[in-house]
Amino acid sequence: MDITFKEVDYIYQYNTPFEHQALHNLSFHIPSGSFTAIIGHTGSGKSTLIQHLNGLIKPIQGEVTIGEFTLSSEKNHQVKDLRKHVGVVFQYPEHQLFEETVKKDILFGPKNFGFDLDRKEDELADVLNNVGLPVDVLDRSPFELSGGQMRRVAIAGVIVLEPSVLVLDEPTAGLDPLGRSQMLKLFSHLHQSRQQTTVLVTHHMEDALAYADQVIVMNQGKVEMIGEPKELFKKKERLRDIGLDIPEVFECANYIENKLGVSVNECQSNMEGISQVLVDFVKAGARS
Amino acid sequence: MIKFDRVSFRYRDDSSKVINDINLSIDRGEWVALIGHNGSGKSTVAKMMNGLLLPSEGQVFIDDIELTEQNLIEVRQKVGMVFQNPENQFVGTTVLDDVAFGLENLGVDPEYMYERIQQSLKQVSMDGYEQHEPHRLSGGQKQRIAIAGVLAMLPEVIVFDEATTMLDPMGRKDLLQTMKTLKEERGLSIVSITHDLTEAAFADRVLVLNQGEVWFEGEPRQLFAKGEELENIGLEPPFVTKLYHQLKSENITLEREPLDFKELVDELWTLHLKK
Repeated sequence: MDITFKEVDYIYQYNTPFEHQALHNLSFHIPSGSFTAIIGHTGSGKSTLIQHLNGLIKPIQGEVTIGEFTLSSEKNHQVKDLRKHVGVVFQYPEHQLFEETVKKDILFGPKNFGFDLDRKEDELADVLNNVGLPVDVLDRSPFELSGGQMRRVAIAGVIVLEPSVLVLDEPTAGLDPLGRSQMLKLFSHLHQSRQQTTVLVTHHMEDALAYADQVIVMNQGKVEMIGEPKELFKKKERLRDIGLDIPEVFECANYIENKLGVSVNECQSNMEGISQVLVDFVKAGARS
Repeated sequence: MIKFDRVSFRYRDDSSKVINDINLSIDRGEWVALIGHNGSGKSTVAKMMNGLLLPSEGQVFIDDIELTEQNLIEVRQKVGMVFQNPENQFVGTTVLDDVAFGLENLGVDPEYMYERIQQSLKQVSMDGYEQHEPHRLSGGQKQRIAIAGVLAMLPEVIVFDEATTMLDPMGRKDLLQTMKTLKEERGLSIVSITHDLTEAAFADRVLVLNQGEVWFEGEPRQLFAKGEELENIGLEPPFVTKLYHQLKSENITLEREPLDFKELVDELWTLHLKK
């Protein structure tokens, strides 16, 4: 599903003395089937942005188009339908688990949306496999599981709906490195196998670089930059000005260029490339 | 300063040990990083450092005094804790009130109290924020207010329990810098609990826990030299360690294991000049 924001304004507590504008004239496009990362400093408007994607909030001005759905300040009755297509995994989704068993919890969404429950039950083994959980957790209480497992159950409860758009709000916060890389591989796998559109909100520049084909950089409720990750991370100063860092591999490339006086081209901005540049540097020294 | 003597811990009598027979010590003015994956027991160890949990077996000493239920209050003043989410601990409606909370409980003279609060806020570069609401500050600022609250109690050790995990990259760098300043200027001991090895590079000494036991103890450099072994216990080697590993496979070796990419590049530069 294509997602388009057209001149979107959002103001919290609109028409009160406490109003606070979170989004200013926001316009961008997320192509169907893309993996888009949204990065930005705390308070840059990332979360406000993603709440528009499934109609939790609506623009005060402007328009959001998601596939065939349009959201504007006018009253809208298709929101429930939209939510069938756009799955959102919020921060710390494990806090939203509530059912007696994992099975009931995962099937809560399908039941609410009126899906064929028998069919969904048959698919459960597959869904669990997708999120890396054993089938025997189905009859256990979600509250007996470890934090990482609980998060997987919560994610299963979203992907069981087979959304066309999967929105992930800092899904790896609080996980250890191993848990984090497993979780990201899972999303990358889902993205490819289901041909869905993925929107990932993250603090980790490394993750944006590794998985996203498009990055939207938010600052003070506006799009600061949009483009391919490799292009964006060249703009070190501009990112730093808005409180963001570039991935360590880019910092290292910059440092090598300044210190050793050899150039690191764009294709070499990864571990192997940098290692090769350094090997060449040392070997050249040995010859001269 | 802090000493664990053959400490074990289990949450219930019939459950298995989360911490199994560990010895450790933290010296005055030392920065020790306590590392391990989720569930390795590191937070349990942290909570035993100021008596939030008491050992099931073995003893914990603070300044050579054994920690018991009777002397908890005095010990807690010496060992301050900063947690992952400072928001859960805010009690005051203004920064001033919040930082004063611990001192008020001790019945400190108001005039002296004000002075100590000012000093503490200054040390974390948050002076001027006295009348702000803690809840409306940024993540990094909230964390610094939490630290000021602990500092006002004049502790000798501060334990940071994954205090940087929720911060964005800049907030994280700032906080690490604050920790470094506290250690250098105030001579505080720092215990930082983390699963981020890049953060461990700041420490004088590193303890790695795995399945409730001490898996490694030594300098950060020695730990990084373990390379791929780290992955086996659920830790991710830092960028520089992976890069150096690649170079080693091309027969380029340095005199010592690099702590960050600057060290690595600088040494290659020196190597190059010598040739």
